[in-house]
Amino acid sequence: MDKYTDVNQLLARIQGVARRLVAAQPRELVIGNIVRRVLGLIRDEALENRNEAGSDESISSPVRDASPPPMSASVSSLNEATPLAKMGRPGLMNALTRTQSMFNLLADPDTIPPIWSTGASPAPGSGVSTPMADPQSTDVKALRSEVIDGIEEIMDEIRQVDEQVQAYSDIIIHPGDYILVHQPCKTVQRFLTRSKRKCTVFLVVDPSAHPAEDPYASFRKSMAATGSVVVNIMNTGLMAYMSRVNKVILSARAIMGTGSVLVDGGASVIARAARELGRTVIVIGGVYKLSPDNQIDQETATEWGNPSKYVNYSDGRMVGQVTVKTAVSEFVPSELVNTYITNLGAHSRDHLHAIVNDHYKEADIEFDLYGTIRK
Amino acid sequence: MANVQDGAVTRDLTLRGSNHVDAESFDIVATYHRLLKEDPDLTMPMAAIEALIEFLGHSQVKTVYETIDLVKTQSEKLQAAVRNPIALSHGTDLFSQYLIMSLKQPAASSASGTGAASSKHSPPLDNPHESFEVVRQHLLRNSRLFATRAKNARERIAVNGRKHLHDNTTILTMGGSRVVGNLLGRAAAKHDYGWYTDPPRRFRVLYAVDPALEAESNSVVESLRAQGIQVATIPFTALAYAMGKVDKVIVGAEAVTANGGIISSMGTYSLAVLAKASRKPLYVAAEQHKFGKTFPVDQTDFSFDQHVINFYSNNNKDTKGKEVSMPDPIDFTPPELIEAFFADHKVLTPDEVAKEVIDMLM
Repeated sequence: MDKYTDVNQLLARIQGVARRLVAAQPRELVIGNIVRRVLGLIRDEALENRNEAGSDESISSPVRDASPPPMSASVSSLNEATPLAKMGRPGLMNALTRTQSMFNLLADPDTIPPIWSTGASPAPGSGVSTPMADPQSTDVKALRSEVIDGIEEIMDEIRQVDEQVQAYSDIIIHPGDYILVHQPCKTVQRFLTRSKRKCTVFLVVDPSAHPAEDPYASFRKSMAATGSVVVNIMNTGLMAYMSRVNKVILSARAIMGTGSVLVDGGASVIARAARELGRTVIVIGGVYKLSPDNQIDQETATEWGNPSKYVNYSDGRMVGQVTVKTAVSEFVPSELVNTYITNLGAHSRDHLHAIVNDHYKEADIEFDLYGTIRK
Repeated sequence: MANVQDGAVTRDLTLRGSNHVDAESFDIVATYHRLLKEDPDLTMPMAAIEALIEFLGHSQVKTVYETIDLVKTQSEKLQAAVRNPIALSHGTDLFSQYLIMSLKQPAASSASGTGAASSKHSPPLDNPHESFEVVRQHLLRNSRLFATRAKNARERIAVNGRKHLHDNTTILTMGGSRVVGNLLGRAAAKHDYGWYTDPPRRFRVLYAVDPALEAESNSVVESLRAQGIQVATIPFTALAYAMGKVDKVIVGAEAVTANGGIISSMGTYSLAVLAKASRKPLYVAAEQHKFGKTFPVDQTDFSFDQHVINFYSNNNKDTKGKEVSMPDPIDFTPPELIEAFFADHKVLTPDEVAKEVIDMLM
């Protein structure tokens, strides 16, 4: 990759790469999430460098030094790094940063430093109170290693998600429970096996799966080790079992700030069935799956995949006269979900937007990644 | 903080009482109405803010506390003079809160060195009155800028909202809101993001026309049709009938309440209830400066009586009931019926609105 001489250049370059990544997998919202995390990280690090350059002592509060890996700690550090904090009034900082956006309307254009907005570089000289250009260009090297460290931390965080989510399994799973899961991902599988309590798991599997190759073999084995029973269910039997079920656990592909969830094809009907009978629906996914993109709705969330697993091309009459569609991903509206469990704990729907705001910067949330591929 | 207050008190004593003449000769109510009349694009909260800034220009008061006090009385005066002061009060609240915030952060406007350096040796060194004068000057100087920002907010709402408008959908709206009209019109044109040109959205608009708002509605409908959007108008009574054809509902708002609901023209609540019953998402397009601390718990929980419901018979004794209904009546749409807000700074849920309002007031 080419050299960059200042932070804005680096940000713009990453945004460019991000668009390419997103265009490759437009419905995988997680890509956008991670890109925004990295952009936010760069903004934070650049800001810190700048503050250090401004005065000899490091004035940004100690919280900053204790930085990322446990997300709860980084929450406060992210909050801090908003424009008002740049002006540095330690005592009031927290109170001020929260209120910032309502007052933007009346803000003085000469003193508020420009938010490092999307792509567009701030007008030179407009940041009267903050020296912009010089310290940045000198510190690019330091920035580089800090950003790389930060990215490593994000990767660590993602690696630890399964483990951290597991910690909540004893709260959710009780002895004798009947739990229905749909094509559980690794996170959900571990969540279930971690709890040593005896329960019955109804496993909704993909009807097209070949019986010889069971993707859940090891899951079955470890469940059997604790004395739990795993029962396979095909789609058609779903409703018959639902009346026995205590809770439904779905693995999220992405969770939106509004509480709606992107799931694997087939899970949406389960959520509806559960709601119909008043069963608890729990969605599990790492906090990195929580997405600030909320423009996705029922129509745009559904990704249509290859149906050849269900209808064979050798069946000429079918292929010639019937259109077969299979959904790879589906949309579960927020009102069908009771609880969200991430590595930060259990959340209610009303709380999700706060987590989104803690993890992504406003400038990055606004950043439109999807333009070219929306159709 | 203690130091600052002591200083203010002693200064207050020397200056108090000398400047009330200016304040009294200024007619804030007339100014407010004049501003609204001069500029039909100005929203009520913005007109209130502009009026208060003009007032600041007339008053010669130098102290922080006295000014805040005067702004408060002027706001009350203004609110008392208008029958429905909700939207307006959101503007005055925002303004006085801004003044108080500026007072709390004296270094904000007078920062001359690096932000980092000045923060090290914070408040006691700064003279609150000097820095307040700076804030005052800034407000007077930039008054036009605020109005422009508020108008640009509509364009930003259009940009934020267009992501949520998809091709081949039918959008239901009502009420002649300019924000919504602009949003739909802009979405039907292409938008240049700089790095990419977003193609026009192809959608249809179903416009429910309330007879009371016919003029406003018709002008919005005409302008949408002029921009090449297919629009169907239906009478308000046909809402439930037409709901099955609708994908999304978008309405405007006069004011956004502290719990994330909206105060909007009469009929919005009915529309929201119908949309909820058919599980159609309802979006609200509203500028952030319309957010405020009004917290109605039901339809009648306002500081004024709309006299919408008047019982009377032809019995002679019943003279009391023949009150005239308030012009431009409003109703309250609770947050449960709202999917999301298209504001100028971002798209947010009702809960998030509530949080922003709390943050502003704290």
